[in-house]
Amino acid sequence: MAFVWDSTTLTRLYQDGEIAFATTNKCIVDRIALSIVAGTDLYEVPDYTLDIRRVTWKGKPVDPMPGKLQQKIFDGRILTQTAERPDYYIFNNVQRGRIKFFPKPNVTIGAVTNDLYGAEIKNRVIVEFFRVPDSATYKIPMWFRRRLLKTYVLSRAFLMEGKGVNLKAAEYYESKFNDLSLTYAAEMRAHFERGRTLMLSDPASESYNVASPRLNPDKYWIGVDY
Amino acid sequence: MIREDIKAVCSKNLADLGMTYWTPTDLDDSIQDCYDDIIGMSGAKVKKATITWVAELAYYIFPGHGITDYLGTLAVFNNNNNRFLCDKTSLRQLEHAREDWEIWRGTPFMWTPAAPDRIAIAPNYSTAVGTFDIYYLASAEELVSDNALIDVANDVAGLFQDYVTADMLEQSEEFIKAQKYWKSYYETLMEYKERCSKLAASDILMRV
Repeated sequence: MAFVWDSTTLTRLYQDGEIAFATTNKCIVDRIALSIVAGTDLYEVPDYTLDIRRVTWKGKPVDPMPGKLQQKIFDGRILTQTAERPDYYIFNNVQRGRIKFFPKPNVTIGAVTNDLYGAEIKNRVIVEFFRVPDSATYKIPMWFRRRLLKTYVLSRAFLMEGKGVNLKAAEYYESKFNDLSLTYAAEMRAHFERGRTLMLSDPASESYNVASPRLNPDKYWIGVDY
Repeated sequence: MIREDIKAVCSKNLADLGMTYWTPTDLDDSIQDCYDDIIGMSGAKVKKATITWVAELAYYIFPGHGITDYLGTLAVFNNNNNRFLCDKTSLRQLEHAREDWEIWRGTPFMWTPAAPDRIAIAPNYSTAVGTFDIYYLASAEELVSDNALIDVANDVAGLFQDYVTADMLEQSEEFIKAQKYWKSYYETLMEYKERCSKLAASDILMRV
């Protein structure tokens, strides 16, 4: 039996659909350790990085640089500052796929690929980011994957010139893909964007509340003689 | 309710009792997708697993700990001190509490979701001993035979009939006919979802 679309095309559309969903609804998290070289402030992150979620320097966070500081930072005099631990990073605004630290690190820290969620956090410079799926190891959640991607594949396959072209069907499945994306994204976020408050949600549990927000003493406190 | 029953009803709906136009594989895949959808959307399946504490581990990524059907965590119970971990926190609150919370060592007393497949626990043990229980929402299991038992309430068996019939009609580009079944499916699914979320509510206990 002859098929209108070959399996290579359908596989490509399947992968494209997964990328389309994960790009809009960032849900696949990955980590790498950067190989830090003293005197170098610009580092490359993988090209499958969508957005950076967290950067830690031996367990302590490095903050994204506020926009109002960027002009001040790029003054030639200030760029010479170095430190053992940078305070800020800029992602993508310097060069695409590059992360720049400020102040410039003056230490060398090696990179590893294992234990980045555990024992190596205190030893490495780790970038946690949302990534593009590879349809092999990194995939969108399996419970809706086939159903969702089927609609994407059909919406694109019916658009292709040839025997199978059907604009009405393509429009139908595109609309369905959009609706299902919204539904499943909302359901997925309900599970992983906030705590459950099932066990401890009554006033008696207030003792477990974490402390109120406070300023980072390393950056904002100064000692006063008295 | 078993898979064979659903296929028989759907074939009748589609006037294809000989399964010549739609193959058994089409129906099997559709039933599986429907099962995944019902369980995923309603959160009807709750399971418990015991996991060994790992020293200095801030994030527990569950496929790597043997839980392959993980959807979301309901509760975490530390078997070392017989206490549930606090579930009122978020990653942002952990950040505010202590900027280096990932390397905060001590007896764990908080957890928060971190991604669709993992949770973060703070603080974490410097030397791991013992286990913890995780109560989690599970996804639907794979149906491998026509005698496979489908684990949803019997009174919502119509969900499968509506879904599969609509799906098969869609495959034949009968979109208008499919809409009636989709409408019925989604309305019943939302009712089932609400029913599942209220199962342990205290109001129901008072009415018993």
